[in-house]
Amino acid sequence: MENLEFRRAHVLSPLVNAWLVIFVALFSFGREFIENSRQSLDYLTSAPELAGPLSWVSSLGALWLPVSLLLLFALILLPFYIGWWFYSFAVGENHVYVKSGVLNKTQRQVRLDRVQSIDINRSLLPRLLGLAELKFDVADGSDSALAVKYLSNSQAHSLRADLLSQVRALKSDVQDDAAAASSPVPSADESEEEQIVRVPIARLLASMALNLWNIFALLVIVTVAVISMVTGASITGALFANFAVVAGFVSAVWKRFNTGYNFRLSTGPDGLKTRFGFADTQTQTVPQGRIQSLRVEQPFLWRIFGWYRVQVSLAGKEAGESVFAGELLPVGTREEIRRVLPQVLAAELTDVLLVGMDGAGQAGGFVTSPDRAKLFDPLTWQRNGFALLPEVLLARSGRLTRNLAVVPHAKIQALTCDQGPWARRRGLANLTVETAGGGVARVHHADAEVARALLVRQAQLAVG
Amino acid sequence: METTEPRFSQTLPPLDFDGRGTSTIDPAEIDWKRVSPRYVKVRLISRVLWSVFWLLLAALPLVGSSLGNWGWPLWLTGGILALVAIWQIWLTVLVRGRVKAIGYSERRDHLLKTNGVFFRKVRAIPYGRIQYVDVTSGPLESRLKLARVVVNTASSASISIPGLPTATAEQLRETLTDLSDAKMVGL
Repeated sequence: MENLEFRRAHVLSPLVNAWLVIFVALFSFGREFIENSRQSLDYLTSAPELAGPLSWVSSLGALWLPVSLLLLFALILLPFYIGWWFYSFAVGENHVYVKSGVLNKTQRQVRLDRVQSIDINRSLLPRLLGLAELKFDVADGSDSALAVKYLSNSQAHSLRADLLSQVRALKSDVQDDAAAASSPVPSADESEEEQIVRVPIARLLASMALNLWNIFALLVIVTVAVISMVTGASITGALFANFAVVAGFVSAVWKRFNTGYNFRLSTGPDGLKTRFGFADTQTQTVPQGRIQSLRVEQPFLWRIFGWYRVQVSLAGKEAGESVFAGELLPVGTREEIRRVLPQVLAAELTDVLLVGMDGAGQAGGFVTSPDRAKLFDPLTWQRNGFALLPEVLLARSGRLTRNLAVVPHAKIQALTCDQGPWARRRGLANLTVETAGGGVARVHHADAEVARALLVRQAQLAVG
Repeated sequence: METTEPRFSQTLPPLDFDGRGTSTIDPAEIDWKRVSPRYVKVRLISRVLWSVFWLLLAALPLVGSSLGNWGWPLWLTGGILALVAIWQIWLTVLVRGRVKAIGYSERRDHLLKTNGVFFRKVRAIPYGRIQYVDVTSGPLESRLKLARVVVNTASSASISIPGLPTATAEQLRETLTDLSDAKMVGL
């Protein structure tokens, strides 16, 4: 191991971390104090007579108040300072090392070349104290590998600059897609782009109306309203009582509407671009290399019109991207899907995918669950299956809501084969393939021997 | 057009089967490295602590009815306690087997882990996908000189190997970190 210099966060950081507790303590203490002082101000100057182990308080005389306040502070801060003492980090040549924990000790090594972004966060209190938080995001973006709370502002900035140059040096050795994708690309103007798909608003609304969950939620709400009308209770009262249901429904509907409103997908020099939004138009770029997996879905009632949804999972997120819906097509026809998929997948794949999407059994080269899986998946056993293609794995499931996941072998992060006691008796097993950005493809109840062979083959394909 | 068999799907050779039948999900020819037998102690101690907690909780109705004025029938209060006791005994009996079922294997390109007695699991992570490796140990574990190695990827999937002697854990961490550097693949 290299010679490492471990350092701690700034001495004042426990104060910031403890602010909530301090605030609560001050608040309750202060309220008590003010209420008591209304009766008499003796509290300020003379200590109360306390019995037992607290009797020493009265011997302090007029000093009792500041002394006990200080003690209270120390008591509150102690655990935070202990945590601070045991948290240290070091920057090596290729890694950042973190040690933490008093009883549960953790040592972490983060590879610098995997770092996607290094951010400096300054909320109000740290800013007042001249502190800043240094945050590291690795690939996924969901889990911060390292967050140093806090450093002095200048330290944070110089450390960030050092780390960034180190990361850049490491990444330039390995010119990979991620590095290329994360470097800022000057945004081209719209005229260079070619629109592939545009989702009509009427279709979006229809697709929302044809969502079984929406229908169900609406039925529940209407039933509640009707019942309250019949029984003579007030409707608003009933809706308030079911506030969680109503609020959940409204926010889900709003989100769907907002992210699908005037949805356009176009290709430009920097990759695919999606634009959507009712409240304000959001533009998001999807660089080709960042797509980790793809999922096509068809809720039951969408079959009437032959509509599909296409979603992708992406690695990391770029600065300012807080809500990426991950959709390439919120609701589209078969003909549109034929235009969208070739943008991200090999052209021949579209046919296989569509055959697999609508069909069951072996059609399209799929391997499905054996007959003995009927007991576990009475509806879907003929649909549950996979197709192993040279570049990707297709995993299909769902009879009513049709689902098909596409995972390129090169993007696989982890593979899991699992088997419960009842599945073992019937010689069945599940296989799960996971990618960054939350992409999951699951093969349900395959023949155990097939699942095992697939695990081995996929593991080999994953490393090329 | 949609009914024609696309030729694309035919270009990979069929899966090769290792002839081990459908009774197992362990791929052939893997020597699982097992975790330290001392780890049984760690799990037993924490199991006992949990059992005491659950048993005390389950004994509440019985105590409340016989000493206090809960007034629950004996068959119910006794039944709850008996059920919880059986459940806890079952879990305690299972501890040794569960620890023994944990295994890991460092293959050429992957780290493999297996666990589970009834619900079995085999997980593989290619070395090149490892993001970072943690070594952690709780108070009990560090007293017994044991540690847990947690291997994280860019997905939410991780491999956690508990009950390794501290030296082995450190060594495994170094090996894995080196291997992940050597075989690294961009996202």
